[in-house]
Amino acid sequence: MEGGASPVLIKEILDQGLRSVSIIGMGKNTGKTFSFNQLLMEAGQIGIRVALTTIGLDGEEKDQLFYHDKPRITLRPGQMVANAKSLLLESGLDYEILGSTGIMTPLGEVILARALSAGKTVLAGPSTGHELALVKEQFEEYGMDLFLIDGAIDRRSLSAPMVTDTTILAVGAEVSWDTQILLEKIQHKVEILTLPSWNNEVVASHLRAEVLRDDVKLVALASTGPQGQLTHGDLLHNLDRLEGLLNEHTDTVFVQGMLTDEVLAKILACKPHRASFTLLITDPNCVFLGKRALQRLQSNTVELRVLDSIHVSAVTVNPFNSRYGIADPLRLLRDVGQAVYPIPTYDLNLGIRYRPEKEAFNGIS
Amino acid sequence: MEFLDRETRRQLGFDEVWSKIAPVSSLGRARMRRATPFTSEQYSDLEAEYDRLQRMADDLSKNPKIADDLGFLLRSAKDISGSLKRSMEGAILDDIEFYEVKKLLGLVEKINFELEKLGWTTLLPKSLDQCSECREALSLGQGSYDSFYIADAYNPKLAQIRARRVNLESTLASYRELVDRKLIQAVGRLLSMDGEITLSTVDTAAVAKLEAMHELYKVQEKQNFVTFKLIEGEQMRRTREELEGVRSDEESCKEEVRTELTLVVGEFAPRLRSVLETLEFLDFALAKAKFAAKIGGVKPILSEDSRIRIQGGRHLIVEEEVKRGGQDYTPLSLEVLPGVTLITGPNMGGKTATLKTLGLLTAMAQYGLLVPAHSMEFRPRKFIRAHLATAEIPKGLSSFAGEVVFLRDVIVRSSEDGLVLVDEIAHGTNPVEGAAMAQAVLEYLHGQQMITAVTTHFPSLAGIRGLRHLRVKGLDREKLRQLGVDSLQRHMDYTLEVVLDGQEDMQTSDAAIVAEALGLNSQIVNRARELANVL
Repeated sequence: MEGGASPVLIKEILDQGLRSVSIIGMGKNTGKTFSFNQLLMEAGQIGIRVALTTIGLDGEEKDQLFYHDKPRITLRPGQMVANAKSLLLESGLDYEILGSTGIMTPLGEVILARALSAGKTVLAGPSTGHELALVKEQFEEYGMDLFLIDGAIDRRSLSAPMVTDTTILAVGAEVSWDTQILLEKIQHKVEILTLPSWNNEVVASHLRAEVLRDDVKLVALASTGPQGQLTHGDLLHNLDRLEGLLNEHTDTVFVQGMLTDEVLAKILACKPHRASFTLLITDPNCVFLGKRALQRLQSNTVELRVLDSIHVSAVTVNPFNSRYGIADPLRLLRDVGQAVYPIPTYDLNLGIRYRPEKEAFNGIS
Repeated sequence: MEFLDRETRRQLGFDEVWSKIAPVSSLGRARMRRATPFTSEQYSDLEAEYDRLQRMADDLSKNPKIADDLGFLLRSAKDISGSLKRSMEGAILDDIEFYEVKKLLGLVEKINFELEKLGWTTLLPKSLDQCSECREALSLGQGSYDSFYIADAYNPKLAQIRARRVNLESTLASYRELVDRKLIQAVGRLLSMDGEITLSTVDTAAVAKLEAMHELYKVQEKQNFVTFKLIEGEQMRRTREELEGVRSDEESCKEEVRTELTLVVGEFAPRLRSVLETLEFLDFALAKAKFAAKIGGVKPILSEDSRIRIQGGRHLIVEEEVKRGGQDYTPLSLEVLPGVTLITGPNMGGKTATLKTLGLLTAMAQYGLLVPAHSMEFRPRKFIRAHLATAEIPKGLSSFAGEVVFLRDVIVRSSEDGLVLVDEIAHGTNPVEGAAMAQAVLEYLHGQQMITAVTTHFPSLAGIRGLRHLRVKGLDREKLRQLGVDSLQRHMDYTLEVVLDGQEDMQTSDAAIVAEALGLNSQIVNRARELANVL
């Protein structure tokens, strides 16, 4: 473990040439907003031009709005923000209106503005990945060095990583007080988030262009190209067609949309006559599999790949649990750091990064 | 009576065709929803509309990029009428509303530039007012036409207050920065957003260093960690208090500016409203012209008499279906006059499509659209009503009763310039009584001002003296005999020919041939032929 000289995290991200970051939380009280603010502060410290927004308003944020809790994000002059109209107007900040987006939220249209004074504000932003991409594109016209998205904590949150170059995952003891369960959950989450991308770019672009638009649920692919496809209805009700489609030449099965235990069971039941094959999905958002199903894939020597992958640059750990108190932060950081290695793991509150070579966690460099 | 009722729109395929016109902005879409047909009193307006669309469609055919360029600009035009209304009702507009007004005027400048390049400015009923003074007022001291900010230039007081605010903010910030610098030296860390720093208790040396800093105090101490918070001394607290006051002064001052700017917008509201009207007109016209260019629409000729003449008319939906089926589509040419026009011919000879084409093109022309035809001549009708095979019968009525209700309602208006289309008149009852009923209706309608076009298989109707009678040329029997009856459509000549008085006996529906071609049991077909000959 080592205490990092601030700013640590932002530097690591920028050094890798990454220009947009989303922060997603594994649940409530995982310190997602703390991590977001930390990143924002670090960005301000090194003087880069930052634009930020959030995806929708998650339940946690809604509660805070209704109970008039303290504002969540602290802006510095010059930072750009995409925020719902009523929140922007109520912020009391001095700002320049840069543009409107036509994206509506329950709190008004999403407006792009540049803060001209420092201050705190609550954020509400677009609610879909498509809208986030539009906002990002619009910000690019104003010149920005870094785009930050405060992701949500529900399933929606995963659309933010699809729009950004990299993602930070906030985890914490709130997810489970039992370390064993907590680590298993984190590992499962990280395993899905970091599913590797498929290496056949030619066929991948064909699938993106041709298949992703239609009502296609499954495509069987051989080394020579696509062999045939099934619609959603076919896959669920017509097992014979699936059996007929998968043969000894099938080396990849592409599933569009949700990959559920049910869909997986059907495919494995009609497993191609090959020892191993690649199961390809659109992106990690599509995985609705439990831990067992993932293990089943591995034991069946099936490689799970995505067309669009997510880059995870860090995991942040929060020892807080609303029921049981605060876990030993260093022990927790070490455990999580080992579980998700080699992804850099931080306790941003303590300003410490987990280093595998320093097992004795009393050694703070 | 409205020009088109819901049923007629649906049966003619007008709704489907209309929905293909796609304005790009909410303004244009709102204008389209309000569109009404031109009336017979609006000859010159209708003529002007055709000329405008013809000019635009011609230009678009030559250079389709025009639509993209203008569409790109129009797409971001926002309906600011809500803000305009508020500005006149004494409300104070907010910064985003000012931004939207300013942005709209920026768009107007760009659109005007495009229109001038195209030579289209004269095509608009009113020129686009750039409201320059309003735009200037919303741009004061900002150095940018693209964003909005309540700049210092609006109020000298504001400049002073802001300077004070910035000063106080930097006093607070420099105190924090000072502490941050010390912290970086001591422990390589910064204060959090909340002015706090937490350390692990394991790092006793670091904790000791922070304990020694007089700018920090311990806010929380647990077994594993300790949190320090920035102390803001008396001076900082006073600075913060003053900052609160200055911020509130700044807000009041900005609100004064907003009040003044709202007055400016309110003053320009009627002109801005007219800008919105022109933009919605332009977007809708552009959408209609784009559609006209796509369908190869021509300008209808407004005639003095009551005839409707169509040369090479195409029903867009039917054409699409026919072509999708790999067949050739035969455009329609016909002329109908006040009184009754009878259309006869074989089954599958396109009689229903004839009625639909006549109705659709007349409706399109009257909505100011260029029509898919070689040429069309007409004068605006008071109403169009259709009763086709696909008619929805009102609840509780039989198909015959439904038709009677339809005829009852149009007959009372038969002295007006209407257009009525009836498919297979009176076929839903006993054929003898049906033919008699149909004849009585047609005898009554003939000689009336209303144009009635009727299709029928009743031979007796062709005998009514003086009716205009058009017949589908029908099947080429010679070819059918040689080549077999594999494809009816291929051997069907859909052209209409005028049947003169005395030639009516030539009428046949070719029922046996059609049935045979469609594969009906040959024993039945032959028996039907025998029976028909006996009759």
